[in-house]
This record gives sequence, structure tokens and C-alpha cells, in this order.
Amino acid sequence: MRKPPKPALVARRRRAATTPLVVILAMPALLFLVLPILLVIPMSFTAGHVVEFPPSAWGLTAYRELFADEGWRETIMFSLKVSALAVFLSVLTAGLAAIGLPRLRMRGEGLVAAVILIPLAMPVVTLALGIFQFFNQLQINGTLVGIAIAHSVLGVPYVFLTVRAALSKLDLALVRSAMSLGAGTWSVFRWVYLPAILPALLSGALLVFVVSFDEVVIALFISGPGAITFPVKLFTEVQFNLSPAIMAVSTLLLAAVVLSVVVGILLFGVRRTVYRIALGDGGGAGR
Amino acid sequence: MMALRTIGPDVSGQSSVRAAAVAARRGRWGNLLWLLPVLALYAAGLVLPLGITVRRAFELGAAGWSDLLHNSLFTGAALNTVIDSTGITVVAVLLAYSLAAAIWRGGAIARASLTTLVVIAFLTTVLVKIVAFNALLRDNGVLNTLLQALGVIDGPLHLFPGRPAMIVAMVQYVVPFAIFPILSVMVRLDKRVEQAAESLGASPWHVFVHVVLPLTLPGVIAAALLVFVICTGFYVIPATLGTPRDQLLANVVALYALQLVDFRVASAVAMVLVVVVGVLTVLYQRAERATR
Repeated sequence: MRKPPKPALVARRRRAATTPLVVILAMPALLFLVLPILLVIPMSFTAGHVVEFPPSAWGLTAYRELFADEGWRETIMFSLKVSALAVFLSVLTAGLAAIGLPRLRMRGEGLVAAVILIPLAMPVVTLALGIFQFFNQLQINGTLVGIAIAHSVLGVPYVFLTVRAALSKLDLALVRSAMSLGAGTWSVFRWVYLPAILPALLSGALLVFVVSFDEVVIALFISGPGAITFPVKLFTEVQFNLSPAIMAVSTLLLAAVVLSVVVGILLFGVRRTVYRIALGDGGGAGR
Repeated sequence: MMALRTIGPDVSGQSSVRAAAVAARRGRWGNLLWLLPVLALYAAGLVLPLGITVRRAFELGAAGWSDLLHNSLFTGAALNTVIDSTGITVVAVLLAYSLAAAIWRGGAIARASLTTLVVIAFLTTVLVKIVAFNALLRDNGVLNTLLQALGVIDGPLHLFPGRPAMIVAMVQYVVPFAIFPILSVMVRLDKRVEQAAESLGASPWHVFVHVVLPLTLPGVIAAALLVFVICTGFYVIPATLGTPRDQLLANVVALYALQLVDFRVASAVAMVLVVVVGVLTVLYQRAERATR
């Protein structure tokens, strides 16, 4: 006579039986999430000058128009400079703060950390309005430095979070022993802290770059002649008209995202890539 | 100061102990230097800008604030914001729950591919999304062309520009945000609780309704609050996919600042936005902490 199967085994079998159903139930949500975005790809490969689906003739007109357009090239270059400066400022200030805060060993540490994270929760438009008014007094509206400073404020929380997470794994005995062996502040920073937080600094820098390169609202408020970022140009063009060139830009942006996610997964695996991205899951600056 | 501590046992005598204490204190406050750069940056890019906004908002005076409450631009946008955010939150959390469940329960391949696609959707800039929904939902767009070709409708459905296009795009934008808090609760569920229910004869449906759903509710609440907070701040999507009637509070701030050049009213509306978002964020952090 066969023994009745163990309860855990029954449970596992049931689980396996319901799994396809759970996955199927998620399909509408998945399609809704992904399909609309993918739509821009075929629409960009048109031979004509209007946006249609499917294109009546396939071709690369959109890409040729895009690369021939001085305006797009200029704004992309400008945005790259803004984002590079923003990354530098965020990484420097947030990295130092993440190291220094626990060293203060004061009671309000959690409060200071919360204050540093404020830009994550702030409605971007409020920040944009305030920065516009203040930078107007400083007369740095419509300048590269002005936009970069504003973006670096948005970026600080991301670097701060990633570096803090890395530091929480650092054994403070290392710091203590280095200092007791006579290492000065600089040596401790260079030989103890920096190696421990370098990966965190890099992924933080990447997040800041993405935030800055995507940011529309602040850049729209404080843009000026000669200081128009790439997202602001895209935003204003979209409000008037959809051209094949816009489809081409969107396809390239999408390709960059897909590429970086795939590279991230190949380098770090799915779980760590997602963990790193989810660390920055605070609100999304570009909305 | 940490060095002094380790050396501590070696030094004897009152005076050197006192000297060490003084040095330790100085060293400790010397660490403030680490925080100076971020403080300077925040002063320029956060504190002073907000200070000016608060001051401008108060310049409006009691009369100005009561005018604001009768300003149909403001009240209309406030109403839109509450209604749209609520609807979007409900739909987005449902969709996110189904995706989170599939990632949680799916096999290795399903899990990896679903996660990858969700992350790609999450990282895709909002600008690509508004381009996509514009192309999809306009009168001669993909959806209308398709439905007309299939003979489902005679004339085009007017979805863009307007509330339908705007809401669909906002839901699509927030779903990935809602997945993370729900999923983080799911992966920490103790499998044995489910197994216990099953071995006692509960059907899969019963297990879901009476075991899984209640246990994942904290994640759902955290996700809902996060989505609601994000919705209250939406600017780009309403500006590009909605009509002037569909605008939200953030758009009113921009309208008053950039078009009407009335910074007092703009600041006042921005303050309302900050207070609402601030309260919701505190609630979210409580809810998020409860999921751990």
C-alpha cells in the first residue's frame, strides 16, 4: 500500500500547479507596461516625414534628419556637460557626508540623514519654483552651472543612500586600527574608506547621471537661450508635433536603457542590479 | 577620536585623560567638515530657494489666500489631483500586485525575464513614455487605426489630448514603483504559513484570500502611499497629454510662475503641494517601516 504523500509535498505540488495561472494573470499588466514603449521602435524606421504605424515605407530618414540637426546635437552636448558636473558635485558632497555623519556620533544622526533625503520626497515643481526665484537673484538662471547645481541637489540622496549602504558593511575596527597605527585623516580616507565605497560611488554616480539627464521640470524653469537641455528640447517639441526624428530620439534613449540594464545584469546578476536600482526607488525625478 | 580610544589604556594620569577628552571632542566636531560641502550645496539648492518660496507665499496675505480658495484654476486642479491620484493608485496597485505575484511565484526564467522587463520600463525616461502614448492614442494613432481597421469603431475615439491618455500614461509610469514595496513583503513571507493552510485543506483561492493577501497588505499600503505621493507631483504627463482642463496642481504652479508671472500665487500653490506631499511621505515611511 502506498503511503499518503507528505503535506509539504502536496503543498509544493499545489504551488507548482497554480504558478502558471499567477504568471498568466500578470500578462495584461506586463503588456501594458512594455508594449506602448516598444511601439516607438518600428515607428522610427520610416522613409517618410510623418509618424505612422506601420510606416508605409521603411527607411532611416528619421535618423538622418536627427543627426543632421544641429539643435539636437547641441542640446545633447549641453546636457552631457550639465550631467557630468551634477554627478561630480553630488558624488563629492554626498560621499563626504555619508562618511562623516556616523563619525560625528551625535544624537540627531537619523534626523540629519532624513534632511539629506528630503529632495527625494519634494515635489520637483516646488523645488524648481524656489530655485528659479533664488537663482534669479544670483543671476545664474540659464547657465550650465545653475542647472548642474540644481540637479546635484536631486542627486545627493542617491549617492548618500548607496554609500551609506556600503559603509554599513565596513568594519569600523579597520578605521580604528589604521588610526592607532598613525594614519592621518587623508590616509584613512584613501586606504580604508575609498576602497570600501568605490562600487557604491560608481553606482550612485550612474543614478545621478540618469536623474540629471532625464530631468525636465527644473531645467525647464531655469533654462535660457543657449542653456537648453536635451529633455527640455524634447519636451517642448513633443508639445507641438510628433516628428519621425522624435521617434528616432526615443528609440535611441530606449536602446540606451535596455543596453545598460542588460550590461548590469550580465555584470552583477538580476538580483543585485534590481537591488541597486530599487535603492533609488524614491520618486523618480523626471515625472 | 577613535585612535585615542584604542590608545586609552596606555595613558595614565588625570591630565592626559583630560587632554585626550578635549582632543576627542575637537576631533569629533572636526568631523563636521565632512558635512560642510553638502550643507553648502543644500543651502544654495534647497533651503534658500524654499525660504524664498515660503516668504512669497506669505506675502499673499489672508486676502490672497482666500482668493486662492475661490480661484477655479486652483480648486479645479486640486480636485483633479485628488480624483486622478486616487483612481491611478487603485489601478496601479492592482496591476503591480499581479506582476509582483508573478515575479514571486514564477520559475527562474519567468522571474528573471519579468524583472528585466519591469526594470526596463522603470528606467525608461518619462519623455519616451509620453511620445509612445501620444503616438498610440492620438486620433490617427495606432489604437484608433487598429480599432477602425477591425471595424470595432466608425470614427476615432478622442483619447488624446485629454484625460484618458493622461491617466493611462500616469498609471503606466507608477506601476514599477508600486512593485518594489509589494514584492519586498512577498519574498519575506514564511512559506510554512501557506503550507499549513494548504495541508489543512484550504484551496489555493482560500490560501490567497485568507493568508497571502492579509500578510502582504502592509506592502500594498506602502505601495499605494508611494504611488499617491508620486501622482500628486506629476507635471510632465498632464502638460503633454492632457488638455488645459485636465491639469494638476504642479501644472498650476508652473502656469502661474512661467506664463502669468505671479510668483506669490505660484508659491502659495507650491506650499500646499509641499504640505500635502510631506504628510503623505511621513505616512509612507511609517507604512514602509511596518513592512520590514
